[in-house]
Amino acid sequence: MKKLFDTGNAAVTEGAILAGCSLFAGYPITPATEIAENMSRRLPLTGGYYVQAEDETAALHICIGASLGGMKAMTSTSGPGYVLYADPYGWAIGSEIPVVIINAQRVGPVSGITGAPGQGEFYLSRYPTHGGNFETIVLAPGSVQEAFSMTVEAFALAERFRTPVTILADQLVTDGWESFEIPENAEEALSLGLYAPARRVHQGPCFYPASDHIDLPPVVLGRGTGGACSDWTPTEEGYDTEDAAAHMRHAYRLIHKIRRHREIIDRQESYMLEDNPKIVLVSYGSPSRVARSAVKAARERGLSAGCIRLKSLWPFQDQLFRRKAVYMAVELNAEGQLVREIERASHAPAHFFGTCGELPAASALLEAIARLSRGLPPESLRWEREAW
Amino acid sequence: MNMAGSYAVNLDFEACKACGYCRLVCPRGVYREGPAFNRKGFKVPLVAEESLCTGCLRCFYVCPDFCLDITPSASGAVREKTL
Amino acid sequence: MDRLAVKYLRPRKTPSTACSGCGLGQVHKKILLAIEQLGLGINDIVWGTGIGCSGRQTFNTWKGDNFAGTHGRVYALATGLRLALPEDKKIILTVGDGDAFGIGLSHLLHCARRNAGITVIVADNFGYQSTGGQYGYTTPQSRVTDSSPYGLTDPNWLQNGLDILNLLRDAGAGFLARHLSFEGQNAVESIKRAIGNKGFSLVHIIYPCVTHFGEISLKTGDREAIFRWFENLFDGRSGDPGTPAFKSGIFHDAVGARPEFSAALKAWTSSLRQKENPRA
Repeated sequence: MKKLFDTGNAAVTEGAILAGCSLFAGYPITPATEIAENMSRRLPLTGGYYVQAEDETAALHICIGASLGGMKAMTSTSGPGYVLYADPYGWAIGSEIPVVIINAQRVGPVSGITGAPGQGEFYLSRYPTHGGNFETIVLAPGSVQEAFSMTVEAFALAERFRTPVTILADQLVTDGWESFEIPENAEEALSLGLYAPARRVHQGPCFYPASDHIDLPPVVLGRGTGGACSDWTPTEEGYDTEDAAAHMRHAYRLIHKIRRHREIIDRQESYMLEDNPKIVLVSYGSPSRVARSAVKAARERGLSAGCIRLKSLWPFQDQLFRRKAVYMAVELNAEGQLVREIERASHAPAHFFGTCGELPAASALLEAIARLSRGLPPESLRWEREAW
Repeated sequence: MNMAGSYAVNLDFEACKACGYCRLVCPRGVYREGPAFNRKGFKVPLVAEESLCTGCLRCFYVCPDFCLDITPSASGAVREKTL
Repeated sequence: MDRLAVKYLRPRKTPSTACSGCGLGQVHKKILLAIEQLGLGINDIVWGTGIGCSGRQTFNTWKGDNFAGTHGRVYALATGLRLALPEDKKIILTVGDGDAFGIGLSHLLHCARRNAGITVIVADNFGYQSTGGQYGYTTPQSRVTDSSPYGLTDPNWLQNGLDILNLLRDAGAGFLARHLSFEGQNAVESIKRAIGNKGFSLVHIIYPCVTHFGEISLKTGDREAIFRWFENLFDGRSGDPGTPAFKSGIFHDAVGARPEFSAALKAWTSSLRQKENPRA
């Protein structure tokens, strides 16, 4: 193993290169620019290409075009760019083309605070484009090590599911400096559970079985297979059709190829849940560390608390919330997004602790746990901290 | 002038959408209003005077529906260009 | 189907569902003639299409590999594809005036700036016809359309001293030409030179939309009247100041003057690797 000390952005670059990424197209945006910078420096030395696009819509299109030609491609941005991916994102979903997308979330709306962490695209990453009739795969790294390993995993999932995969990070993960390890040979890679499936080429023109199968080679153009893909609802041979039944079959595959194989995608980390604690904090990305400290302190005060860190966000892991408990989502936004999914999955009201642009204080979380233990809601300080 | 009567004009009756352009551009009156409708309901022009065709290809260039072929006919196998 | 369609097109999509009298098939045919005369085959070309009449009617007609891009962005897709394909593989894109001079103009200009090895055929029917005949950015001025019921005041790219092809030339396009869809071999010659150009080429081909532009803007459904009106655009006899006058033929020919984007990037990358780690 090679030990490195660097930012999440650098780790993402190393992960992409290990995964066989040979094209990065991007557009400068804080806090993801460093990924583009690192790619422009590292990728050419591996024989790959860095292309700077005229805007984020073009950047993702360029990645998809390269993937359509058989290359592994990635782009990275932050919120304001992620919204410009909506048009090509749908194209990649509909044409079932693998591509990896990093979103280093920052505070919004609009430009918000350029250099402060946010978590405002939780729902947007589930519905990154219009039209419905699809599922998405979204991973959420909580450390520089995971920024590395999840990038490799994202490439593998994109290939296996023939779909775009979003890595929903936040600015603290991508800009933060931590040590991390990268494998130097295949065995070490496997020991970290990492592998890079080669891109296979679909031979025949027919390539859209109306089934939930995965591990099917995506369309590749330029190899004389007579392949066709478009943004219209396709028949099995790729012709555009306006037949509703054909669309149901197409939508069925786009949804169930992901839902039926959640076990490959689902991943999470729990802390102190062994004794079924009364209070369970739920989070993803950088707030999870504070939640963990707060739970540790609560336990020391004899309070019954534990926490869950979601490492994959979509498809949402409903099964984690079957257990009766008082759940509180800890998020880097003020209106509460993750909390809604917890309420839906647990079929019960859930609490919310939101800070905007900065991590919550562990002491404030501890106080909220204490109040919840006494059956009181966490205290909302309105503009300072929204909690309910 | 190319030898008249040395070209075959074949029109794909079912593919034609009766846009009328072939008849419009033909300098020799090879095409006339057709008597019959194709399956899609288009009143397809009639290749009335094939022998007058000189192979100028104007109709071929303006046919939008890939349904016209103008080929040197075997009977009139004379030089392609007589000028 | 004629011999070109039999040779190059998928039977299921031929004849197209375009309206009777639509000139798009004339544009489509000239491209196939150019391909045939260049001696290119099914596996030599990857065909991309835009959105609108030109996209819908040419998508998945090509027997070889083909794709339809999102509206105005097929150039960005093709730029990525260009990098993935071997240099000898041609990319031909058939798009409409909306794809090219409306929503997609920024991507088009950046494609020209990069000199990506792509041939763009803009089939221009003077507006957004597949959505019912709204005006576009080449629609002749003062025309009544579905979205300019009192006449068009929005200036276009083609009159009053403007010509969008100037913009493309200055953006670095290697080859530019303009034709009317009725033309014969001279249009085919321009398309052949466009396809032969290793860099970015664009051929602007104007064609009649009888259903919307004819009926609403020219106020006639008569084929001959529409035909003559379009013919007059190119031989300057229209006499009506509101109608643009075009010159048919090559607009700009700098074939080979600039390196092609993907070839240059690949060469640059391998020389960099040599320099940076000579042992590898």
